Amino acid sequence: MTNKMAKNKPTKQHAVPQCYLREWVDPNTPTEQEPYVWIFNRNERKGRKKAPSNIFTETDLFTLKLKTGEKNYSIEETLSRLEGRYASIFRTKIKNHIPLSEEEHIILCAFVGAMLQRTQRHKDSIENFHDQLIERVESMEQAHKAEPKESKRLKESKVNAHKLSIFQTLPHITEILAQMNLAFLCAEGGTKFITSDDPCNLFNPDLQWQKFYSPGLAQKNVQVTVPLSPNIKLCLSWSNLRGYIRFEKDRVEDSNRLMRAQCYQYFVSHSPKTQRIWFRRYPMDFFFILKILKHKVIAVIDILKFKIRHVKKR
Amino acid sequence: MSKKDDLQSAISLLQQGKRKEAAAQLLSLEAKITDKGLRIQLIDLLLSALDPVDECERLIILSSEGAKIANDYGRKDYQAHFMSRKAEFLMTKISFLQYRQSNLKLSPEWFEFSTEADKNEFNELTAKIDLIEKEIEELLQESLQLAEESGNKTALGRVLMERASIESSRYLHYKAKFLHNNFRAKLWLKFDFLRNPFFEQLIIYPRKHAKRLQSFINAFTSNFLRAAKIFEELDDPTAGYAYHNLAIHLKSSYAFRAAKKYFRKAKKIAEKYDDPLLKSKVNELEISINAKNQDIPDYVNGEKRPRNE
Repeated sequence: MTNKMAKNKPTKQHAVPQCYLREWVDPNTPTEQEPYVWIFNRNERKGRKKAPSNIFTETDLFTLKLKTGEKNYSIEETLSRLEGRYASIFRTKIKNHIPLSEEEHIILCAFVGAMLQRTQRHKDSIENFHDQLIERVESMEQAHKAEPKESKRLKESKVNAHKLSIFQTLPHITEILAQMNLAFLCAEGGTKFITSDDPCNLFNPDLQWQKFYSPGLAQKNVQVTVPLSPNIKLCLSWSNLRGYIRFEKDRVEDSNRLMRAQCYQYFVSHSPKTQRIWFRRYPMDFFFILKILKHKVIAVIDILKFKIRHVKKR
Repeated sequence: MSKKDDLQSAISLLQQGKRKEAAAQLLSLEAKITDKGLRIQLIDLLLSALDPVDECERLIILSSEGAKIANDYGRKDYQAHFMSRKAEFLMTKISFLQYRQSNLKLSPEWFEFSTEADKNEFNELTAKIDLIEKEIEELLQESLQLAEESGNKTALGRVLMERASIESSRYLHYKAKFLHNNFRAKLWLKFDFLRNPFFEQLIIYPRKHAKRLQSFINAFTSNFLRAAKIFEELDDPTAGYAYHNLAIHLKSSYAFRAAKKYFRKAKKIAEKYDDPLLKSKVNELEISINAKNQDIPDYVNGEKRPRNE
């Protein structure tokens, strides 16, 4: 009985949900094979076939380790329920371009909120932050010859930090996302969206010329985008972009360019073919290139000014 | 100072073009004046002093009250005046509702609502707009009839001016609604000459819509000219305001040559009667016509332009 229960435990957990990745299954998969998607390393144009069940997984990624040594799967189970409800909404409503009810809208936002935080990138970022903190606390403890109490406490909290953070912040993130305007961008002209190991992106065009600030949900021009399938991409924003909207071929490819550039390690496509534009650093737009040049020139002038001032002071 | 004196001082503030001060003084009197004879005067002044964008709802209520008091007194001319003003304020309300409605499906490539909430809001707004449009039409017809029955030509002239400005708003709403096509909108934005009514109706709009647009232009022009003629016959400087308003609306429809023609008439009348308010308005209009609609205020994002404050 205990063995059977242990077998049923969801230990293999997905950073990017399987139900989500299944949308990118290659339509040309032979019937005798398990359906697969094409996964690419960030900077490579050659992909590998993999079943959605076998990618972006980690054992006990969301399993809580209790002080008693027991494992608790409530986060994974809750995420699974959320994924199930999302999958049904996607299948019955979004795929058929039908408006969402209030409840479905909130579930979609909760799913996106979870997607923002459940990824490997987010986990690594939280753990790196803890590591830095622990390192500093340890050096302070050593300098003051104090007992390593605080560093020990931090090490313990690091174990569940990522897992707990998902549910600590999810209600707030969902609330904000639900207030944003919802648009579904529908790919046209036979082009398809790609996805990645970190599919949910925050982008603020106002911040693209600087490196100090990061995009945040409360910013006026921020956009939260997640490709939901090769045909549909979700876009949440504070602007008046709402509804199901036809998205031109060029814009789909440009959004794929951003998706590939912003992925953590891998990107996923429904086909083995890649486009050259996905690997370009800048979009193919004359006016945008002019803007880049303008900002580069300004940056060089600022550096020169700083150097001249520095030399004068010396 | 008595309430009558307070009203008189508000009138002089308005005549000096100090709307803000006049509005503040009138609002402080609003709760105090209950006598119907004075209240109707107060309401009429408030309708001129308050900001039609910020105080739209209040103005609708006030103009309804004004029409009711006028009816109680059996003054058909006043009743017609307040009813036509109410129609004008309701039109402003429609502009806001239409703006909200167009935001729900703003993208030219839009083809379906993303949420039921948006869809329901859109339908509710449509129903609301239709209802207000119906009310406006009824108010305009009734006010015109009352003004004609009253035999008061000034009232008739004012009703015609309100009617004309409503037709002009309808023209702008219709134009915005059918310019919701990516390619045509791009052409319209890119080439200045295409905004001239002649080319606009020839190239940008399909024949059916072009005809409808022209009918709106004809309607507001004829109403303003009829009003101006009435005031000229009465030797009333309001004729200048009728020409001034016509020039503004023609300018909005990019008919700059026609706008200049009526601007000159308004200027002539302002000089003839030495009306300081009309003179300042005419000066502003000249600048505005010369700017060729390149200086349209962004009211939606909260931009404010001084209204003779």
